[in-house]
Amino acid sequence: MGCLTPVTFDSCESAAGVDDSFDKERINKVPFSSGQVPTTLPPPAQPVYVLRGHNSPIHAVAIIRHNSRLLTGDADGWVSLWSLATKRAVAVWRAHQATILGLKEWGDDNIISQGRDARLVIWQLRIADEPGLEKKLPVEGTSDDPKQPWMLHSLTVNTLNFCAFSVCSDPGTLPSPTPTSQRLRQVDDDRGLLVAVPATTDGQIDVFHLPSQHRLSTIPSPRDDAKTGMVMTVQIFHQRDTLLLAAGYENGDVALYTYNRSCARWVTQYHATVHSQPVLSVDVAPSLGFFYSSSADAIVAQHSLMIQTDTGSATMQEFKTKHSGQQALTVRSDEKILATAGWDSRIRVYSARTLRELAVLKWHKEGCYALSFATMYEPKDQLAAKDDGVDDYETLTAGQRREVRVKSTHWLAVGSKDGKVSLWDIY
Amino acid sequence: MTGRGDGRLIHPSPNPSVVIGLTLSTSPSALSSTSTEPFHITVSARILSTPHPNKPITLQTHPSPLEDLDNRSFHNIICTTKPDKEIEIFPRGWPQCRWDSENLQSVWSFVTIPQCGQGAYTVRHEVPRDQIEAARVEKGERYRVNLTNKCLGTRWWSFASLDELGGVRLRTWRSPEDEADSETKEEMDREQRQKYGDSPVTMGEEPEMLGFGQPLVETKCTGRGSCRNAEYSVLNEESTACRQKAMENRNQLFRALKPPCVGLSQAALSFAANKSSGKDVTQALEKLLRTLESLSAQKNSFDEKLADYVFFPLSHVLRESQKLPVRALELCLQCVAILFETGWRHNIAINLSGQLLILLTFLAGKGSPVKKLEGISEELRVAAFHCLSLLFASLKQTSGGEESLVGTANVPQLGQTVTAMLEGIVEGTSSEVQLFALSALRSLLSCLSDHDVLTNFFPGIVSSLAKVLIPSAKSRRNYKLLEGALMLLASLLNSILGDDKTKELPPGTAKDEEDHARPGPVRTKIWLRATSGQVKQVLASIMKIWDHDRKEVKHAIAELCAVVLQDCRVSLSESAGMTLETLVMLSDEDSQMSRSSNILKHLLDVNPDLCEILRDSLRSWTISLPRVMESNDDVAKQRLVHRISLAYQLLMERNTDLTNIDMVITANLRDSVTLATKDSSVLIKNNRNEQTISTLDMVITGDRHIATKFNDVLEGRRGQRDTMIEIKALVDRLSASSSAESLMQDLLLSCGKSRGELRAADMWLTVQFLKGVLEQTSSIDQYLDIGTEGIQRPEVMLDQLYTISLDVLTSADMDEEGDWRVQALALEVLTLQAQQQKERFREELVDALYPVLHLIGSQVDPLRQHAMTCLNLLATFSGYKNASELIVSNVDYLTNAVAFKLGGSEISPQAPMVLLMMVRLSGPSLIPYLDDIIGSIFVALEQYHGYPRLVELLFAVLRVVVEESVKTPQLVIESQSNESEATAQFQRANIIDIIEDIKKLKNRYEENKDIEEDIQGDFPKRPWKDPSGRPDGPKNLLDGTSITTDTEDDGEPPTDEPEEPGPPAPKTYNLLLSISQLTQHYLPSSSSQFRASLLSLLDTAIPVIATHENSFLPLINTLWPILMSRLSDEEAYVVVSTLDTIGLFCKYAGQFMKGRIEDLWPSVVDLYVEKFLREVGEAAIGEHYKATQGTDHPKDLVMRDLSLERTSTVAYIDAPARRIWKGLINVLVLILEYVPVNEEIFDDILHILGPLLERREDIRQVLERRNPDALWLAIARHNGWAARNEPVNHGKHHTVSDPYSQLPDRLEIYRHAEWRFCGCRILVEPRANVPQR
Repeated sequence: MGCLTPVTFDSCESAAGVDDSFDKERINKVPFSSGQVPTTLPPPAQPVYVLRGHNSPIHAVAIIRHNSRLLTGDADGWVSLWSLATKRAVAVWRAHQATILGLKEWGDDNIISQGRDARLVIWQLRIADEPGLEKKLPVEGTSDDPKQPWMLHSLTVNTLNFCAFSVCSDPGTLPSPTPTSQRLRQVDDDRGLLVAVPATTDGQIDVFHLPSQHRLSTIPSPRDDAKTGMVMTVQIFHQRDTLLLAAGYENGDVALYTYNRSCARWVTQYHATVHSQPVLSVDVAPSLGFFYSSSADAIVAQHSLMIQTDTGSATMQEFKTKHSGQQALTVRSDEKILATAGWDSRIRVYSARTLRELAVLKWHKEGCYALSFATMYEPKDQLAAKDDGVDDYETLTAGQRREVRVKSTHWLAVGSKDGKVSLWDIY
Repeated sequence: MTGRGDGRLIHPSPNPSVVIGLTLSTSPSALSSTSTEPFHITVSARILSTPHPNKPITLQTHPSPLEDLDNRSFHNIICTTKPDKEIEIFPRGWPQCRWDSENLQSVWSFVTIPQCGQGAYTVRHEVPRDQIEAARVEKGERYRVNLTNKCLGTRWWSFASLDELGGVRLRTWRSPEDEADSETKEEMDREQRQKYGDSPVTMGEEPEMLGFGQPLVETKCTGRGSCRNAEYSVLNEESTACRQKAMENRNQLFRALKPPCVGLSQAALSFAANKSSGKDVTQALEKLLRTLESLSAQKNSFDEKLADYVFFPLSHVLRESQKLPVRALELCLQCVAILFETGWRHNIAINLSGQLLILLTFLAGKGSPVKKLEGISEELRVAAFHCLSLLFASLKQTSGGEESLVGTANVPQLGQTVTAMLEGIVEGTSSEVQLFALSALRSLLSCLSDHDVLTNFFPGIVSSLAKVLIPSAKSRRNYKLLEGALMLLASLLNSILGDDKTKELPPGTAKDEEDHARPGPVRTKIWLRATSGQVKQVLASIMKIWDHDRKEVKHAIAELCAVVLQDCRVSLSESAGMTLETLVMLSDEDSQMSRSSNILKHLLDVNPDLCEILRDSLRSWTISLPRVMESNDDVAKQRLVHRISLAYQLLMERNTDLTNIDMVITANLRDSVTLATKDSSVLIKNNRNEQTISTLDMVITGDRHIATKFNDVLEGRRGQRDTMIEIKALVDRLSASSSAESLMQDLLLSCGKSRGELRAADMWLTVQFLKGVLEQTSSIDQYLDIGTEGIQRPEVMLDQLYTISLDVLTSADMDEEGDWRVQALALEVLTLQAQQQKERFREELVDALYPVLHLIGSQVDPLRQHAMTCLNLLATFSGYKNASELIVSNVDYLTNAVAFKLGGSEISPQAPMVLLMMVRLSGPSLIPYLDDIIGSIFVALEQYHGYPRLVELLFAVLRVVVEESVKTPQLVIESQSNESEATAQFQRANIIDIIEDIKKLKNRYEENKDIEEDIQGDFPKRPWKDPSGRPDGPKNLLDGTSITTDTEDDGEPPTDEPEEPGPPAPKTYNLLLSISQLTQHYLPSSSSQFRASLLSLLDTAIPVIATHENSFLPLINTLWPILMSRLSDEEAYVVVSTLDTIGLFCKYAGQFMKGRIEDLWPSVVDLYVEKFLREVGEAAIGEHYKATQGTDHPKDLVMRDLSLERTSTVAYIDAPARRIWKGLINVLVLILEYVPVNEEIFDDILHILGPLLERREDIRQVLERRNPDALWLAIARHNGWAARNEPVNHGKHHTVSDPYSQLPDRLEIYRHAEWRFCGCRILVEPRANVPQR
């Protein structure tokens, strides 16, 4: 892939195969090469809302619960649960004594948080629990001992290398009924959970099972000489019935493992040195058949999940973006676009298929560390997401309509070093 | 069976005029309220006059009293004693219309009235008992049975009995002329032959030619039955019963009348023979008139014979009318009038009446040939018209009277009379003449029942009446005349063109029109068509007076309309639309009287087809609406809208299908609203108000300003307001209609699309509509439980509108281009939504709150008002106590919105204003959230530094931020902590201290002697600790030596700074610091107010910033040079502020300021000299100053010499100088208190402050604390005694070395000296006050 050419909206839409509901005007398109500035630029995109309240840099964000809640975690270990409808905190507690590395939901009731205090904690926080919890945000001054949600499990894991954990539902002995067409971000409550975290030895990855808290297996470093350095990022996921795990390493290596159920071992399926700097983030688009990696250098790479049997390696394309330090690469659930949060304080949106740059979102004045997309629902699902069983939008009460609206918004939440979380509504 | 016949078709007879008399009776004759026996009404018919006395008459009986009781031929049986009572015999519905032109037997029933003298046809109707019971008849009441006029007629009759007509087909009557038309005839023949074979056909006689006499019967309820056949017969009976008495009365009358009659007769005769003057006649007439007047009450005894007798002498007079004076004629006519009213009341000789008619017409006519009568005949004319009307009334009562009038011989004369009357009506010289002429005409018309004659006069009468009624500028007619004319016209139309009279007119042919055999027009269909066309034109012009001022006229015209619409529905159908419109207009005019509207409603109820007509009118009104709106006639606009509204309501109530109208109405309403209000926006835009900054403050503080209702956005001028009120009412009605929903959808659609003026109109309409719909829904909600769809609908629409409104409010071009009215309406929509959603609306505030606040800062005054109202209402509806609670509770949303506004590419003044208000309302807890906003403000300040007002505003925000930040709990400082430390700093070392210290040093030296000796010559490695707990004294003293201990970090630099590194509230503190730092760039601003405000901002921030010395001292360093330059500011108050700030620096930085103050000192002295001394005593000081200018320190000299003398010479100091002086004093006090400045400066300060010692205890204390000796010395020197003789140390009182410390009155002396010091120059000799010892 050579030099990128300037992209117009029309072409990128077709190239990206993105939804027709793209709001072209609101996207701030930055021309790639100077001298080709369009005569009339659309006004720069603005966030829909900015959530203020954290004192220190945001290191984790997650839109959860059918896009109704947003979890944010900062460098001081504080976690806030926000309502996306009211844009207000519904629960604030200090989950860890050090930087939050990752936040995920487990079913509708549980929240998993990982801090640099070497702990991975599962909290029970149901909607009904919210009223009883502290809502005073860290920035308003901290009460010494805010009430925490009920702690269900606590797991000691290696958090020295800033690597966030990754989860997927436990396929167990049965083949997963997960529809292949849609990536599951939401984890099935019944069958437990697989958690992938870096192991204590550099380059190795542990896979735990929850709620049993057993360590199921350990994936060794892809290189025998263990020169990969620390594990920087992991993604454990399903593709069809296969359990896979993608990892990025300190030396710029990216690897993909498959779980061989018959021998209960992880098999290295793909391994390549793509980046010259430590890998910062990997994410996957299973139904598209790709996974992506970004690193401290300016490369965003697209790796195929398909294994070519003859060579035993997958194809890989790298894109030189000229913007180094793109962290928190995340693919949206519909696998049409992906976004990265940059150290240069910009959020870049790419087409998941072609990796063309679609938009640059700029609001924060300091580097961005974390982002999260809302789950995309089909129009039909928007209503199915509610439990009322009312099938006509017009007969809903105003409150229900608002809820549906919030849930169907294409949120993108970005957490930044300045302690603020911006909410965007794009594509 | 008469008539010509050719075997098959029997033709009518040539002169078929027949009168049939009807007699009514009841059996039993009295109505019993208790018995159950049936009560019958018997009708018997007999032939009264006929050209064929030996032939019976067969007639069709539908509808007539001969057929049935319930075919509406009877009125209800009315109680004559109690007017509201009646026995109902009316059927509920209308009789069915039966019509078959070819064979009438098949549909109708026929009866035969026997030939003359052979009895009568009698039919008996039973009045249902239950009806009688229902009416609750009571004993003693009298009831009257009445026939309706309308049903006294027939559609077919013939001279034959039913037997004779057996086998003959009866056909609808057509005029013979029609029949004569050969084509028709042949065609008909052919048809009939096919249908009926050869049986003969007859269409009978002309139905009009059969007349009925109308009887009535009264019956008494129970008791002695008194059956009265008819009123006439009752009278007869009475007269026979009272004949005896009447005769007596008559004789009396005669006796009374005879003398004046004889007198008059003689007078008239002698006048005729020229033997006496007219005066005698007049006197005789007067006498007669008086007599007549006195007798006229006895009407019954005054019969026609007597009248004839009286008239005899009068006739003499009349004969001489040309010669006699007018007065005589008048009197004569008055007498005649009385005769008409009395003796000729029922009976007047036909001949006489003919003559009188001619005479009276002559007198009443204008063009009278008698020259004598010309010009002065007004009263005469009145009298003549009066007599005429009485004459016609009498003729009406007289049998054969009417016939005599319309007899062919008399018609020309009658024509003349009519002409005279019309002329009197139209051109009568006074309204009295006109009125009497009118009443004469009325009387004539009521007397004439012959339609043909009436028809002849009809056009003339109508056009004359029209002349009266058509409003014209030149003549204003008496309203009574108008009313009368209208009534007359109504009754005339009814009797000539009434549907019952014209229903069966012959078709008529063109040839007929030219037929001159009969005078005047012939009543045919053609005539009818032509006439109704003419009438329409006349009506059209008459209807214009509908907005006459008098309600009598309006009522009359309403009646006329009712006649046209009801009685002449068919014949005048062309005029129906116009009349209906007039009626609608009338209805909306007198809504409170509602007579017209009652008529209208009744008509619409009865005639559904009128609804159709009204709908067409409504449609055309609606279409014309925009055009009218464009005009300047406000009244017309209001009327039209009101009319539309009323018509819509009426039609809606009658379930008329209005779909088509609805389509038109929305679009036209929109255009109309636009047009109606097109200048209102312009009007307001000129009204722009520049003072907006204060408005937000008003909201914060203003509970007193809570408005709970919106002013109407589209209201402009007064006239427009009324129009808009009408439109509102219309919209209310529309919103109640069944099609409201589709209308709403329509409007919503265009709301989303339209722009500018049209959008305002759209929005306005939609809002009005929704309000109406929502109100209805809620009221329905209260009482009924309807399915959910019904209720949800308006909410969904509201939702759509709400979305549009939010778009309007948040759109980018909100500030400049947007029509403020659209924005104001959008605000109303927000309020509506809040009203619907109540507390649930709180979630919407995320988007909705900021725009409201933004608009409170708008430049358009009404919009601002609107926004304030909206804010208050939002607070109320969504359950907050007040607006400020609303803002405080949702300050996070506002923060977000303001951040976007400030971070955006363009900054409007509103966002900072909102921010300012938010901060002020929410207090310090908000500050931590504002870091990026403050950042944006900094950026904005950088970008917009060329816009002084914006910069000022932004700094106003920053200032409030600073003010609030200071209140942050972590930053609130305990005010005492710093001071004690500061005062301790420059405890002067007096001699005792020095001795003590030397002793201590010596001790230490002794103690450490051995160590010292070990390390001889070396510097000490450790700082000396002060065991006494007083660190400063010795430390200062030994400063020079302690500097050397720099490698150690456990003791030095000293202890006044805590170890804790960070400031207490990081975010807030840093904000304060950076804001303070920012001020340096703006202090040289051109606006003095701004400079002062910046300085006061610093004043607020400094105490807090000072808590963290590591940040504070650099800040001083940064700001110092700028502050210095401000000391030479041209505005005094800026200088004062600068001094204050310097004072604060001194207070909080203390020691750190020493060097700076010393550097600054020359400029302080400069200030003092320049600004102050120069003002004071030019002569004394100035000269001295100039004289010493060459020396090195001229100012010092000046001060030393003069400062203490100044108080006496100061006469006046202007205000700025006084302020600077005050500021200077403050700063000097603070310097003294906190900064260890050198002695020279202290001396200068002492000199400057000297004069104030008397008034300012605090200054004295400060000076004393610092250097009591110097103070004392200064006082003493001034007083000139202590300095020369006994230098006294007034330092520490406990000092043992003070030789005077034991003096008991030492303080007393001191105070005394002080007193003298202040007491200016006139002093007691100081030496005398020295205590002698």
